[in-house]
Amino acid sequence: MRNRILTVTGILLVLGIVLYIIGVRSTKLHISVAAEPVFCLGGVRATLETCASGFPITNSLITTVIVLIIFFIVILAGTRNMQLIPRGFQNTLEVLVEAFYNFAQGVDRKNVAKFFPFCASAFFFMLVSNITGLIPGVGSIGLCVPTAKEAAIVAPIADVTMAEEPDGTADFFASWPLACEKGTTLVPILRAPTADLNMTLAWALASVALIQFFGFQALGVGYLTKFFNFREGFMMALVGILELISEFVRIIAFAFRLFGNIFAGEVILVVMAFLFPYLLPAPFYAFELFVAFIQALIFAVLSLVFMSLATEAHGGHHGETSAH
Amino acid sequence: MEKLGINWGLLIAQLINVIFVVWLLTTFLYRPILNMLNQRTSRIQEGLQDAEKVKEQLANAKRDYDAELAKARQEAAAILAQAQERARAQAAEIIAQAHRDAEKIRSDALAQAEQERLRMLDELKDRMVELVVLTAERVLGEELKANHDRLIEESLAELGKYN
Amino acid sequence: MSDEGLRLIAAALAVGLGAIGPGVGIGVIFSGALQAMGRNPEAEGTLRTYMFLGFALVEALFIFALVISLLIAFGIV
Repeated sequence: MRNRILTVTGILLVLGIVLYIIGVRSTKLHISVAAEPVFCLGGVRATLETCASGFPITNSLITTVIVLIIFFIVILAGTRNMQLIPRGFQNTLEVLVEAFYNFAQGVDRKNVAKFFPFCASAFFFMLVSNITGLIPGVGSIGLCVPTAKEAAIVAPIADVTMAEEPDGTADFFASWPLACEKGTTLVPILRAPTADLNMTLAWALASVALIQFFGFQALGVGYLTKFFNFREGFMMALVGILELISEFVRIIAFAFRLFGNIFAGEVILVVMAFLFPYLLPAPFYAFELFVAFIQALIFAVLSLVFMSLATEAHGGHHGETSAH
Repeated sequence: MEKLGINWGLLIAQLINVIFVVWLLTTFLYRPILNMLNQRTSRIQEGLQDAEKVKEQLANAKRDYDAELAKARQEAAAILAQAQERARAQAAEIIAQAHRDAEKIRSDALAQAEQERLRMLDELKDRMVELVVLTAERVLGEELKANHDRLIEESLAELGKYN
Repeated sequence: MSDEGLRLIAAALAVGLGAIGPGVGIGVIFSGALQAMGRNPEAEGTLRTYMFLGFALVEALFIFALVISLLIAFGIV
């Protein structure tokens, strides 16, 4: 077994090196921080990343809808006729939901029923979203859009094309059918939804809004004393203000943590494929799979923890003073 | 913010998506599944409780049965002892009765035999008288005419003495 | 060096230097949490909660660096 793995790896490596020397590789490196609109609904495209008018239907949005359709199908298949004695797919879904439910119970046993829907939704949606970014074809199949001159200036990272080498050494696949011509850039039809700031920011906003909501629900107006605490001297007032700031920082942290991790993962994969396209990206794929899971979990768990902290009367003596 | 790809329209679309996802999963995934899990838990609990109850009942029944059995055994022993006692008494009575009967029969038989003997003696006496008279007639003939009545009386008394 | 090049260097430095501290911090947090969990497995639930809380606080620093870096790179500031 071990020998077979080594043999296959060795053959692939040799094959890869040969192909690399011949020049069978893409020398185009296209990375975009923003999700590009595939088309603009009722408008025209301005640059690669923006629409001059109309609503941009970005590749992330399309993938989001696809993920939703996947969810529909999965839920329909799993819970259409629920049985007391689970069988087949229902069993799988139950195991997933129950595992996360037990995990959430470990964090906060008292309020788990309140927090569970949002956090579990975040976890499952992000898990699927993150993994869609790893499916081959996502990010590499797309439309060719003329590269506007100003786009390159406005977003320098957005379009790093290595085909600017002395003419003649163009991309190997340039002459292949369906390849994008010079002067046009590939706009992928699909892109991991979590590699789009809009999506992560929306989830972060929802999460922080829910945290505040649960805080108010549990403590009433007393929840505000966590932020505006002028009774216990200057230090405590300062801590309260810091808490308030950290509440806003949470939005950014939630959004950028997820976005940064998934986007960085995609960049790593693209760069690795650019450096040496054979065999090198494989371990990174495995790592990204792990990151996809961990980041979804971290978002969900942090939401849970913050919610559970918001519902607790904050810090021993603070709570007592506010109760007086 | 535009350059990071943040677009108000998209943000709002994604927010709507968030709400939709949470609603979708809550209504069609978590609620049925958690309900099902709860149902299953309660069912299993019920089953376990039932099993426990049945076990208890079984133990109770066993205990009752044992107690009943012991009682029955005791009763049987008592009844047996009583029966034995009664049988013994009855046997004693029967034996006594038998003795009594036997005694009675014996005494009856004795009395009867005595009676018979007396009757036979009487009869014998009569026959004897006849025979003696006959013999005496034959032997004496006509000679005993004078005071034969006295003689007869005498011999009869004599006979009675031997009797 | 062009303005654009300086901008890119600044962005790279921001995210690169900003990752040092939080990297160490996250390592310390998880190592401490794992040790505590190993010594006292009953407290795992509470420890996990505070572990993720600390992780979030430390990670936020790196997120600041990332955001600043992105802001610099895209010429927003």
